[in-house]
Amino acid sequence: MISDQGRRYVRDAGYVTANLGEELAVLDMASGSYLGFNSTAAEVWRLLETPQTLDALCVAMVSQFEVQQDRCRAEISTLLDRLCAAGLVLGMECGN
Amino acid sequence: MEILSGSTDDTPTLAHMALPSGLHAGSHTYRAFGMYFTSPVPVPGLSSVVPGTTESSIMIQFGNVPDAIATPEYCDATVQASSSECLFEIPGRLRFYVDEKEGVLVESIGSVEPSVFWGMLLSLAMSIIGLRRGYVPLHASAVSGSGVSVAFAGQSGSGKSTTAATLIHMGHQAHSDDLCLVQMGSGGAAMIGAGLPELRLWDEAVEVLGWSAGSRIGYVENISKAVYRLKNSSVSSLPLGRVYALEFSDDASRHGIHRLQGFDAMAMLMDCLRVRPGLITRGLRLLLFEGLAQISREVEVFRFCRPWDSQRLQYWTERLAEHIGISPEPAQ
Repeated sequence: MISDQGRRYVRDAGYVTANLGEELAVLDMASGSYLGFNSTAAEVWRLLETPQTLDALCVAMVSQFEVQQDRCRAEISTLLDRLCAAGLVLGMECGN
Repeated sequence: MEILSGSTDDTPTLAHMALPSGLHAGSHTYRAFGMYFTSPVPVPGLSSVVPGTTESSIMIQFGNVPDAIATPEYCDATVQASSSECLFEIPGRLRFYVDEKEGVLVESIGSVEPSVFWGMLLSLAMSIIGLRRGYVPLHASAVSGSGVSVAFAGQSGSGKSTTAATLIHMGHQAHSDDLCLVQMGSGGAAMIGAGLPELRLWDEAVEVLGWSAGSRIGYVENISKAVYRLKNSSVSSLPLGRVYALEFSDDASRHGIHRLQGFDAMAMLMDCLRVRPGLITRGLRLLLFEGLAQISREVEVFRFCRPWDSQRLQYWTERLAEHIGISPEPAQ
């Protein structure tokens, strides 16, 4: 588990995004491979255009989707782990 | 040149058209797949046009093609490519080189019928140049009706040309075979330029359709496809109304016509590109990605899956024709 309250997350700059209705397509410019994001993952990806903490992402998602906070937090944490492991998102320790 | 011998085509000569100054004598200008090109020799089946004033022409010339390009980003047995150059060989038939200014240098390396030669050259060269211009080169055949085109995309053997041939028999107009270069207009409309007025059909499809082997104008031996010239074909660019991605399957639960949306539509289109992945060099990735996304948003995409059963070709094509919903062109 790499998601915790002391980190901020942001998209890696090597990816380009295209809106497909509620979904998103993401292009890895280095490899040329494509990824598809469903509506909820797409919203997290949009928020990650600027650095976000896990807490901030949870607050934003709970306000937009009908989901319990604990479940939302667990799912976003899992998503961030996957995105970081795949290199799409960078996790940074924040100083405060 | 050997490939030109035996051509019985009645392509108009320069005497029939007015060319603007600046074009060297002897060049013939055509429009295919939505792009202008010039050739030093007539191209069978196409009628000469006056070059456009706002769009550059692709210049095709004949000569010795280089053996290699300087800094290839991709190489395989038949292709070398970078973002600015491409070298392509069809063993035993032809080699061609596309430079950074969209010039095409062609060398015939075997005995090839004119219709086969030009079909191979234009389909491949236009795919590559179209990709560089920001068009999306779909491996697709298209028909038209009511001023709209409908494309049937898929991998080799998925029945693109056979589907188009059956719909043409029902009264739709041929629009393009094997390649559809999709251009996104500034207003968001997707357009497809008319291709060559030809269809390439497998031997089995010719038999099922009942077309005469004697009326074909060429034969592509290595893939067993007969070339037929079509008299009633579109000549201009038309809006792309729908794309049907064709599949065969033994699984009856997959049979039918199903709408694809969002990323599913985009992924399906990506699987139906006319260029091999290695030719999508780094400098072209963003253009193609944006084009595919725009088509996915603006054009209805469907999966058309049916069993591999030539006896039921008519049944499935009639279901498709009902779904397409465009009217055949009135009989001339």
